Amino acid sequence: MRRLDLATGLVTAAVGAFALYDASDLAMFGEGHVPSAGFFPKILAGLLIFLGLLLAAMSLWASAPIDDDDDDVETSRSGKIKAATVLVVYAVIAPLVELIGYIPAMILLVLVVLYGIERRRDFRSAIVAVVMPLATYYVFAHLFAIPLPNGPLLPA
Amino acid sequence: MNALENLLEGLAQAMTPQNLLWVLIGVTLGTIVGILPGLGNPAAVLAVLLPLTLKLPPTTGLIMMAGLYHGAKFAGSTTAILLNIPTETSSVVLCYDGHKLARQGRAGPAMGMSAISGFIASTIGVIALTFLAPIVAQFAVAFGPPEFAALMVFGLLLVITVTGKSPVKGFISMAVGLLLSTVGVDLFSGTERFTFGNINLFDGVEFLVLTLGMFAVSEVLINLEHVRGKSLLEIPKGIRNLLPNKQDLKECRGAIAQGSITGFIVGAVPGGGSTIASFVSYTLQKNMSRNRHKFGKGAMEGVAAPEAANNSEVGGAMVPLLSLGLPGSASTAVMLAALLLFGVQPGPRLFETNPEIVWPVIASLYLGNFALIILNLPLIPLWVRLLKIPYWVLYPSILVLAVVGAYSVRGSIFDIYMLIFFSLLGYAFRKLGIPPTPLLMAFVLGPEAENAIRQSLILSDNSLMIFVQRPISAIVLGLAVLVIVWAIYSRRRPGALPPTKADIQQDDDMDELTEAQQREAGEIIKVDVFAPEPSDEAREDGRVTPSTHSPER
Amino acid sequence: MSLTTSLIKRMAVGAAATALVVTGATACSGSSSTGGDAGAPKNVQFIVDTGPGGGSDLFARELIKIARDNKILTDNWPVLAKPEGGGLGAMAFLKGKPGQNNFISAFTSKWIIAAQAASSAPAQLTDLTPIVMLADEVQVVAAPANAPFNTMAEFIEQAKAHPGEMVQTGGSPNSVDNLVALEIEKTSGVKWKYLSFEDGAPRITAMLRGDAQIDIGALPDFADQIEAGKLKLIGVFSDKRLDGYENVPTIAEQNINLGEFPSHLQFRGIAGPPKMAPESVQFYVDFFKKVTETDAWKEYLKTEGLRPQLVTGDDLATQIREFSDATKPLVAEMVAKP
Repeated sequence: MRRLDLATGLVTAAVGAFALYDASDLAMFGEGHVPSAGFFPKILAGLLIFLGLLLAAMSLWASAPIDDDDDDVETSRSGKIKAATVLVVYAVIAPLVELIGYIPAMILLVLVVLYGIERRRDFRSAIVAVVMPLATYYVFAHLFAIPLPNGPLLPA
Repeated sequence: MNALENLLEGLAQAMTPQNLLWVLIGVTLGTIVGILPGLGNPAAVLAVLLPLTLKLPPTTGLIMMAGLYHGAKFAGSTTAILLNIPTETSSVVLCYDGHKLARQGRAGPAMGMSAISGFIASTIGVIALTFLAPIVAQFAVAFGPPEFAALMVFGLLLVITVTGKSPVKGFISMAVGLLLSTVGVDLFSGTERFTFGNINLFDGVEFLVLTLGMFAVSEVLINLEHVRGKSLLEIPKGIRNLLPNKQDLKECRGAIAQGSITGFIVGAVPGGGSTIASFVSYTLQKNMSRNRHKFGKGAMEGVAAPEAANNSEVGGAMVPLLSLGLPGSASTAVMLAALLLFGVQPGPRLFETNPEIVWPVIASLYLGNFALIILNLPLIPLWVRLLKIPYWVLYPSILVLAVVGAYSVRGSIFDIYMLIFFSLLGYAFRKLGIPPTPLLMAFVLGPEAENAIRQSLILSDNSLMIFVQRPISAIVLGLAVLVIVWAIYSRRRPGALPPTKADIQQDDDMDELTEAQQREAGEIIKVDVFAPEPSDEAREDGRVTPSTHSPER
Repeated sequence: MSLTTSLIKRMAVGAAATALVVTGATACSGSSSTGGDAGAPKNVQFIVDTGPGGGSDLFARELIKIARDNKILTDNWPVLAKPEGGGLGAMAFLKGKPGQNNFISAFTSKWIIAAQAASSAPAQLTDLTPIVMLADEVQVVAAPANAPFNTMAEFIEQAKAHPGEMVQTGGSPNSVDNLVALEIEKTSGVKWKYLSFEDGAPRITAMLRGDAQIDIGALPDFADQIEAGKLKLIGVFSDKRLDGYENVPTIAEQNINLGEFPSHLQFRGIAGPPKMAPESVQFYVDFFKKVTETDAWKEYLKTEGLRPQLVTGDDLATQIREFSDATKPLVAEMVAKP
């Protein structure tokens, strides 16, 4: 955990530095010396840099690692890989809703997750993969009239 | 007393069989809709289902709306407790303790406590509204930027006390939340902050997208890491374990009282809302409670207080609405629209000119809550059974719903990118031991605090004295200081140190004992979410096997 | 098979069947014809810059509703929200659909300012094809009932005596009410403060509390409070006095110089994508003309405090340009300020 904390601290400080850079052309004070748009962002960015460095420093000098919240469940390597895979799959497929349409994209997502990741290659998975997106589409797009993209395959 | 008479008359008027039928329908619909992310926000629910209610005579329609509203709120609490997914902003706090309770097999009691404390608070809210409205109305107008700033700063200071074991990480979370809240076009100067020239960021980060990513999706990812064979949730059998017991209720008396008062006050302030009310109430309770070390690990008070605040907030928000015609929060803004559609003009003289509308409205709100209790308390076992849906069905559904929810806010593909970003961020936070909740609280309270402070300074020509010169502001700040001092002091006091190893061991022993006892009595069924159901093979053979009694791996 | 699984399976089959039927049905209805309107665009979508329930959204829905009730429209034109950037998102969307005649949008004068204020605006109103202006929201000046001044001119006098102390409350400093105020400050040589609140309710309570002295907005924002005697009107941005408020002088009558500003401050109109064919533009002009002639429309305008307008073609282009010229320098100043 200590090395992780060190990395976390440094990354945090870096984020803070970036924020400070991005906010550099914002004014601290406006008319009448009242705090303006840049006031809080700059202070917060500075605070973040400080906290990041503090965390990094603490991880180097503290004797005992910080005891984190109860992790009474073991995590395994396979579990972590699974989680990471799902995240990647999600990140790739979710944006496709606009490209190929909501229903096809979501069906694809569930199919990949169930067939590929969960290895449940049975009929039930197929049902779930098709029903879920269709059901949510129906509820959102028709019952609540919130437009969801149809993509090139289905009529607009 | 005139007001009381009117209220009773209003209640009598409202309680026709037809109205009762419609309010039950409203509660049911509201609950169903409230489970869906993006629509769980009661204001959105009301706005969407409003056309339905318009087909009915005005009083009935209003009562149905009240039912919808309470149904949606309860649904929000339900998903927060059961799935750790807040579908509306005010139920975020419930994820903290409510879900931990669910993991300990006390989902039913948590939900029950949520409903009960909500009902009690609602009652208190209605009573306060009835008798105190004129006084509170004056107070509401007097609550200007400095007072609001003081309240928000108070809230933020309290957030610090919820940072968990590592204060530095908690602060980092808070700072990131505050920074994220500044993204967008600044209200006062019109300049863009952290937008990278992308117009999708001009209006800031969408709260729902942030929540879905950091709580719903990242929760799924964390759960996926679990080793196969460990159960996700324990579902106790028998009705005794599905409702809060006497011990719980006794413990939470103070929490309910505090929540009711806090919620009402915050609701009465134009600009305060149920989110702020629940945050403030939760953190306040944590600091005031004797069981503060339990907060974050499953304290009943952590459910009772915010839920109470959530519900009495409505009563409070009705004060400026009915006396000034100004909505106190988002949900009452929709009520306002509905009232207008019904031809009722809420304005400063509404109580005088149209009392025959006002009191049924108030009564109907209350009835809605009553209906909720009647309908949902017995249904809690059913809700809890929801958890029996195998996780491999549940989690892809959550992923899909997150996409819909995120997209449906603005119809923008950019929000989906943001969803992915926040999912990653939430996952990273949890892996790194950074608590995500301070980020969320800071994200909500931050802009309010910043705006209020800057408004105050504009008014006072940059003099900080304004915060102390105006009486209410000074009082709130004084309270804030008191609470913080109390918090620090009681942490240092020998008796109130965080529990020692011996204490924790003793607690665990006690819990284990009860658990073992319970298991013996066949009371608890552990649900193994990842195992393929053994009954599959049995099914193929044509045999019928009893449901999910799977041995623990 | 466990109870849950069989239940799910049954639900699944049922839901899939329903969903397919529904999707099929809507697929058919999606490409419906526009009835008897020959040459009318098909599958029209109405773009607005607010979410459901917002100002432009309600405006568009009202237009469609009145058109359908009066059989001017037999189809349904869905309202599509593009709320990013307060108009910028909508404009960018339209800009990306040149020549297509089935997209229209409800624009407001806010769009003009939004493009001027953004550091890199993806589109501006002049990129699009303005079709018609339909309504213009009369702006009024409200003040607490017990304020020591009764007209805007008197307010300015007071402000002169106490420079930088009086407070005007409003929303974003890029909104028209602030820009107009800035212009007045320039022409009269007086300065006062601008206090921004996101919502309308805190602005009113600010005045009731005494934190602010004036607020410029639309009449419906203040009507209730005026009736209750808590607020009063001290000026109207219009050519003639308002019905029901005949004792409130107009800004012009008070000899307040508005500089370059036209009298239309907050207007609403319809615009289409760039390079729209003249026949399409004409179709929409005729269409909306018919809507404005209905009684329902006139009623609607009245309740919303809107003035009816029907400005098209060159007049419209001129009006947009006048407004844009007036706001441009002011916005540029605001953006340039550190």
